[in-house]
Amino acid sequence: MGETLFLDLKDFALAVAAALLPGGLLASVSALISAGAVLVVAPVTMMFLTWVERKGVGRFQDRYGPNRVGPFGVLQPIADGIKMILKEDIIPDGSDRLLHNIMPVLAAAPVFLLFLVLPFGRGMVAADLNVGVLFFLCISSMQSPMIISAGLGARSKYSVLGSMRAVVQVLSYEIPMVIVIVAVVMTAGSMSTSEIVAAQVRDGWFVLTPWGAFGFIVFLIAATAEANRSPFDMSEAESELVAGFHTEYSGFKFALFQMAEFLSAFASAGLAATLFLGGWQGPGFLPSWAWFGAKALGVYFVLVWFRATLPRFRIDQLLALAWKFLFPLSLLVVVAAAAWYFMPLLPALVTNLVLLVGGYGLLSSWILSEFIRMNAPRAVPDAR
Amino acid sequence: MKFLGYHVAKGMLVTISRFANTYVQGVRRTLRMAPGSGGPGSQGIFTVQYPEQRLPVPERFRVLPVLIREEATGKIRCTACGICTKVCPTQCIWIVQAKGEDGKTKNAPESFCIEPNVCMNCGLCAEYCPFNAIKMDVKFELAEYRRQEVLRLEDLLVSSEYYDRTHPQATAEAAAAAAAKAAAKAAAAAAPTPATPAPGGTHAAG
Repeated sequence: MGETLFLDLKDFALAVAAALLPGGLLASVSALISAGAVLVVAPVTMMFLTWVERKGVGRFQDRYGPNRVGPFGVLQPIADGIKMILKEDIIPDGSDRLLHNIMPVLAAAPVFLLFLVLPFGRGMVAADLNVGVLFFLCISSMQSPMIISAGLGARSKYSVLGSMRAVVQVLSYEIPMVIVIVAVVMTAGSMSTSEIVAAQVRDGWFVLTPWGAFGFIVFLIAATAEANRSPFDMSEAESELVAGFHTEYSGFKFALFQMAEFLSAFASAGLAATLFLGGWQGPGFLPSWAWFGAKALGVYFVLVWFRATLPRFRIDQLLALAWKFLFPLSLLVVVAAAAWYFMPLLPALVTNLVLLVGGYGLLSSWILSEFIRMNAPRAVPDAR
Repeated sequence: MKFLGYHVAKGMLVTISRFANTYVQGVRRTLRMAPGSGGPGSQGIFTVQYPEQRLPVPERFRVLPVLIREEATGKIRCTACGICTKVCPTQCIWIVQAKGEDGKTKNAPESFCIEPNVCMNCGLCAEYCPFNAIKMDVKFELAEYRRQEVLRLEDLLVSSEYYDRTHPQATAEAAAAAAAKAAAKAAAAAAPTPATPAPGGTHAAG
């Protein structure tokens, strides 16, 4: 379990390439190797995630989960994949054939790009962009146009309803998420993911500060909604919309949508680990990439935990949570982060606690009292 | 004063404790500190891994009717009286009475057919049979590769020994009732007073 295992592998491949190819191509080959690694690892990760999800939810419900294919059911995703490929591919008569056919691919493709900017370990980032976080946000919101087109192209009312919900949801939750990321970027002084991890090596994990803890929670809730995961899976609410935007999809196209969903959830978990949990750093008994994997999986487990616990929101409750609660709280997080950055420790702590706990309490009492007032039994005018 | 998210946090604690408890109980089962099979009412994961593990089948479980053949004599208990065909709500029983060489009817079935796809497993035939000849079986794994044909006499016959094994409680009750009846008869024969009706009856065997 060497710290530099993957870097050594890449160096070896580069050395082989250098012996075989003219020198000018070497930079391209290096980029191709990194991107190829992401392309290979991501689907395997997705298979593993489906297994983790099913086993985890099973345990939450006092079941074993899949345990028939291979030891502990680890080969279940392969069986699922074979089943998906063998299924009949149905294109509905009334659908837009072009949109129907290309949207699954276009929805799954950007998700692979998300992994390019995540630092998987010390020096292990496929493309160390100086605007890595911005890149991540842009690419992750590229998934929603694909979902919308997929739903509109199907010409099924369930698909269209699911798409419209997806638009509203992504628009609403992107805002608190971005504002919280602004707090991180302000403190770290960089938009590069590896620089943000380096800042946390210097200053300690952001989640250990008051603003970071609140920011992490806001980010986690917003990321759950962004990834369309329960309890925010409004756009594919199976009890209301059959399957939402992918109602009309079957076989491998459906699998591609599933892959996009699982991988974007995992990428969000990875970004949460990078921004708040110190990225790849950790005690030296494990290599840095194992620490990153453990943290990302830990955050993913919390998403599974959400799914196993919470019932689905109603669409108006979903928007109310985003606009009434997460949005003001994320603004407070930005102010608190600024206070933490500029003030000495004790006044910073006091300011943070006053801002965040006070703001949280005020928002809570406002929302809950409004909720109680709105849902109070009303005197019905006498019809007679 | 409740906080927003208070009940969410409370619910999440409930589910995570269920999650953790499955592992705690799993370790306890491995260490033989708790019963191993799971099943209803047990802590942690209570899934019974069906084809390998099974829950005991209750004795009063009823699936399809069977006809009892005496283990000792090889005699079929059924006398072709036809009561079961009359009480059967779905009319799925068909009996032809046997005839001797001389053309007289015998108290035995020539053929006895049950349509298993029509039978609704109510057990009324077994309730009404005065000879304890037709009983409900507990065998429930009936899946077949082909649609099941009509069950004929040779498919329906099981030995009385099989029935006693699958229904130990009913057999014991019937034996006790028979013993009590025999004892009452013996007492009546010994005493000069007129015989009193025996406690219990033949019907207790059902």
